[in-house]
Amino acid sequence: MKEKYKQYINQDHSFDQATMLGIFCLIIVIAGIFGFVYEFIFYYFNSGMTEFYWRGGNFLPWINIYAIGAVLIYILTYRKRKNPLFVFLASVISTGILEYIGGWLLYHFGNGFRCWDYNNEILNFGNIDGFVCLRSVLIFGISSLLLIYVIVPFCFSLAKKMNRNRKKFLILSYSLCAIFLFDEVYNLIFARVLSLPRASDIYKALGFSYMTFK
Amino acid sequence: MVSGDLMKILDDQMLLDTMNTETTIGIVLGSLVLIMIGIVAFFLLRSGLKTKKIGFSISGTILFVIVIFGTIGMIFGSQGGLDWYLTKSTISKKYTEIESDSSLRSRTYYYIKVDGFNDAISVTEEEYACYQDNDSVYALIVSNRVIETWNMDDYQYQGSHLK
Repeated sequence: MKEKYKQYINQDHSFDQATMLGIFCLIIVIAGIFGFVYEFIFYYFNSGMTEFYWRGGNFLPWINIYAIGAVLIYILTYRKRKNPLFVFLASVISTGILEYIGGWLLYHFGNGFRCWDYNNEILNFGNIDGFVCLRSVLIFGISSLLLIYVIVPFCFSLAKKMNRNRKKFLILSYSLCAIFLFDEVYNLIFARVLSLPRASDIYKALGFSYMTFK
Repeated sequence: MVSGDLMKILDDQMLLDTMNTETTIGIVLGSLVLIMIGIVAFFLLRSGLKTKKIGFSISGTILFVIVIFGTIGMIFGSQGGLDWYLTKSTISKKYTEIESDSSLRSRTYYYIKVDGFNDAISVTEEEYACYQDNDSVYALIVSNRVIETWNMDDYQYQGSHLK
C-alpha cells in the first residue's frame, strides 16, 4: 500500500475520459459532504453549543461551494502534488478569492443576502467585509491537503480497483453525483421557478434550525 | 418585564459571548484541526517526500498568512470578535420602520432607519440589532411585527462584552 501511495505521488496517472469524470463526480460528492459536516460542527460551536443548524439549501447534507472549491483545487494543484507547500499556498489563495467573490456576488446581486457572515462569528480574525477570514482560509488550506493527499488517491485507488468492473464504478459515481446535483438544481432553480417547496421550507416545518444573516 | 422569548434570545447571546472566552471551543475545534493535520501528515510520511522541510514551510506559511490577514483586516477596518452593536457616534435612540419585504427567501425583512445612521438596519422577525447610547446598550427587537427597544443594562452588557 505504501508503494502504491508513493506511486500516486511520483507517477502521472492516466484514466480514460469517462473514468476521470467518475473520479470528479466522487470528489464533488465527498467535498460537498465534507463542507456540510465542517459547517454543521462549526455553527454548533458558534451558537455557544446551544443549537445545531442545517447548512446549505439542499435536502441532502451537501454544500455546493465546497464542491466547486475542491474541483478548483484539484485543477490548480494536482500536478504540483510533490510540493505540499505549493498545494497549501495555492489553496489558501484560491479558496480565499473564491469565497470573497462568491460572498460579494451574493451580497451585491442578491439584495444584501449573505449565506455566511464572518462579522458575527467566532474566531473571525482577519475578517474582510464578512466574506472571508483567516480561520476559513486556513481550514480550506488544510482541507485541500486532505483532498490532494487522501481523498484524490482514495478515488484513484477505487477507480483502479474497480477497473475490471468499470461499468459499476461509472454507474456508482455518476448516479451518486447526479442525485446530489439534482437536489441542488431543484432547490436552486426548479423550486423557485415552479413555486415548489424548497428543502429549507420543509426542514423548517420539521423543526430544523437555519442560520440567518443580517 | 422581559418576555420569555426575548429572555431566551438574550440568554443565548450571553451564552455565546461567554462561550467565546472559554477554552472548550478552542480545545474541541483545535483537536479536529489537529486530527486533519495528523491524517495529512500520516499520508505525507508514507509518500517519501521530505516531510521535515515541508512541516517547517507550512508552519512558516501559516504565520505569514496570519500576518497578511491581520494587516488586511486592520486596513479594511474590520473588527474581530462579535460585531453586533452599533456605536453611539453613529446612531441615536430614534428609529422608524421604513419598509418590510417578504420577497427574499420567504423571510420578512424589516428595514429600520435610525436618526444619525445612514444605512437602514435590516433585521428579520425576532432577530435584533443592538446600539449603544451614552453608557447604555439597547436592543432593537422585531417581535410580532412590532419594533421594540430594550435596555440591556440589566444584562450587564457593554458593547459585545459583559461588563
